[in-house]
Amino acid sequence: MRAMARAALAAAILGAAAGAGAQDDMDDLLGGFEDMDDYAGAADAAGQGGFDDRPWDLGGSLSAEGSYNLRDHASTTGTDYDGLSRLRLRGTLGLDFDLGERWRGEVVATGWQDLAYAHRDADYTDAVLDTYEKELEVLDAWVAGELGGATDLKVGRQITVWGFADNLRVLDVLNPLDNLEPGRADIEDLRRPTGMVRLDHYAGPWRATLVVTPEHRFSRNPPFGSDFYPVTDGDGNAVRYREIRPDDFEDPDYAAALLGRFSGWDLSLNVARFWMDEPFLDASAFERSPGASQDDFENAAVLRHSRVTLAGLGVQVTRGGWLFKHEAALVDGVDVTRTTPLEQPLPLINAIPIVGALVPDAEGRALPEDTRAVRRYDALLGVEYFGLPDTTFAVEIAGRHLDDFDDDLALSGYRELRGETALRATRDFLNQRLRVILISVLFNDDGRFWEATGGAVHRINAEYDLGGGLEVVGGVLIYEGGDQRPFNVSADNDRLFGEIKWSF
Amino acid sequence: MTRISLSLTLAALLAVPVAGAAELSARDIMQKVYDREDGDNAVMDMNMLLIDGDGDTRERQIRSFRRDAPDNPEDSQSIMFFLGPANVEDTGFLTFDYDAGDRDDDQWLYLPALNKVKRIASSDKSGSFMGSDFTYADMSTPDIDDYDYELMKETEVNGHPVWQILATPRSEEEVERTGYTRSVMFVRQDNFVTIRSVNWLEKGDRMKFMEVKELERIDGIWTPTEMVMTTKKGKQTEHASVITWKNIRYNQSLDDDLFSQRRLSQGL
Repeated sequence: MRAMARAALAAAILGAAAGAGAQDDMDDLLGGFEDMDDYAGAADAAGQGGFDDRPWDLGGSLSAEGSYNLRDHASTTGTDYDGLSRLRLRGTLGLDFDLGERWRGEVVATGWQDLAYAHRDADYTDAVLDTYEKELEVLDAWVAGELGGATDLKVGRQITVWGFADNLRVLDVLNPLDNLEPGRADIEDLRRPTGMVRLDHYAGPWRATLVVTPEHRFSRNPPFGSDFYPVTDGDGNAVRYREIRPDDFEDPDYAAALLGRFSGWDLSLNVARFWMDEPFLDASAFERSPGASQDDFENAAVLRHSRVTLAGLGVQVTRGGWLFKHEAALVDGVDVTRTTPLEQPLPLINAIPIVGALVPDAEGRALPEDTRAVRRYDALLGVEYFGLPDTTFAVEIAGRHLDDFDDDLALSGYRELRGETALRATRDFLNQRLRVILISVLFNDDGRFWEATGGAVHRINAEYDLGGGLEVVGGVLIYEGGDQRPFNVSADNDRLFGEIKWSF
Repeated sequence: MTRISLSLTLAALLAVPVAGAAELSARDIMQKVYDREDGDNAVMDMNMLLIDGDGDTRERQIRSFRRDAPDNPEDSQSIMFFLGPANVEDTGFLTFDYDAGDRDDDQWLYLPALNKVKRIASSDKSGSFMGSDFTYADMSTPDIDDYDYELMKETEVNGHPVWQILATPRSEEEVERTGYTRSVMFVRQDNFVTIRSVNWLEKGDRMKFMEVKELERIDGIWTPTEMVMTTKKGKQTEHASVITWKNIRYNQSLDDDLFSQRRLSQGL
């Protein structure tokens, strides 16, 4: 009402425009044009390029990134991690190119060297140095074009995002994630491109998609020795299992989707047969005997990936400034580890770490002996609000329910209903020169979506555009400890981070 | 006597447009402004120069396509591709703008890093258009029934006779949608182009001054080719944006496929 009152007052004032005094006031106000810079010189200097139609485009970025841990803490291998934990120089180079009128391609490669590891006098594991100290990786590498009028083909390493949610994943299962510094990467940098053959066919508002993925990449998680490495025994010591992954071209992933885009709403139907990202512990090779030790178990047990089938749907609807989202999926064939009570305890095994679940402390009275496949039901509700200028708010809640849940799974540390809640706010200031992002992701169970029993990560960061492709980023990451990985070990990992990046 | 007669005749001649104007109400004039010919479709390159109060500049380059919707010419469709700077390159923006006031526009943003087309819900048009001083409301035609119009006076701008018209939103919803409590527009009498406007912002005690710096007739259509929007607080300039358009072509043969999400994700 305040705005209308002001508008009415203005109209009343202006309504008296027949009065010479009021007209003079208005003329004074409108005189702002007379003392205004016309920016002719700046405008002439600008806009001389950028519109060239070249068959290729070379671009990229150079950046320096740093992280500084705020609290004294060590990894579960004993490595000291307080203070500077990242001082990374990164370069990314990308080439877009046309291959005739209807075909095109892109190759993007990135590499970094992290100077923090040489700078610090700490005893890092080989796995940490291999993962964090330097990297050279091909990101996107694909060619794409039209096969006939309404069909597109895209072959190569690429990202295919499913579903409508931006912060939590129910339908978005085709690309693995980069979790090396959990919560640090924003959604634009989170997914790892994967080698796929993708076919899209368009008919009216519909798009049908077929995807075959022969390259098997999995999420890049903190390695053994990292301060985020979550697998520990009952005494809190890091435990490492051998991981068995399918070879590329062995049993490719298959996926199909039907996406409808309509006025005010969208619909997505999805099916997929794929290797699940999260591994399970297979201890079937372990031979139980009274003298078996923890080492015997850890050497015999391996991590494997389930071959699962997903069927799901997504819907999103707009109303005014609101965008409502829903996703649901049935995931069949999820292998889980069964832990059974032992009549004769194994005295040398005091706790068995179960990857992907909790760390039970069974004092040798329970053993994860075998696995079984269960069905999981995932559902997500979300809402995004765009009704304020230069501002968006988003809330997403996801629940994952294990079917046929029993005591053996509970003893392994699984939860019948695991929950995730994401809250996100973004606001632009100074004509989009400054963007501030707040995001919190809470992990929980038993439907307590507003609690962080499983842990939580909160991030506040500001991105400032210096112009000329130069951008600085600064922020803070706050971790809350909990009973889900990696928060079982990362409660003290709070850190400041910053980056300066030049894109060209 | 002769001199008086000549003066009267000259006055009568000069009064012709004024007399014509007298026959047009402010609303009639604005209706003609909104109905001005803009082609069935248009293709153009846009350079946006963003200037801080201290003179620092940033640039945006955009290639845009617009057309009247095939099933209802009152609706419009537009697609924009960002060509620069590098950190926003290949981002795309597709809008289906519906004339019916009770129907929300459909808007999708293409995020190249994600290869994802993301739906945007936006009833609020007062936000900055790509970081400029122009808002989304400035870039679209309002519903004429959402405003009261008053012809304040006739005057001249840069030698062109203009009508000076006050537009006052009729509802708080419209104020919230656009962010403006009122606007004064200067409409050229010879071609119904708004060549200046002053907008009072709802928040922050600020005003925005828009001026068309270059106006050309392209394919028979009056087309601003350079425009400046300046945000001021009192006498202090806080920010300004200069938009220049190049390579403007109207009534081209455009594929239906151009205004689709397929094309949005494919890029130019």
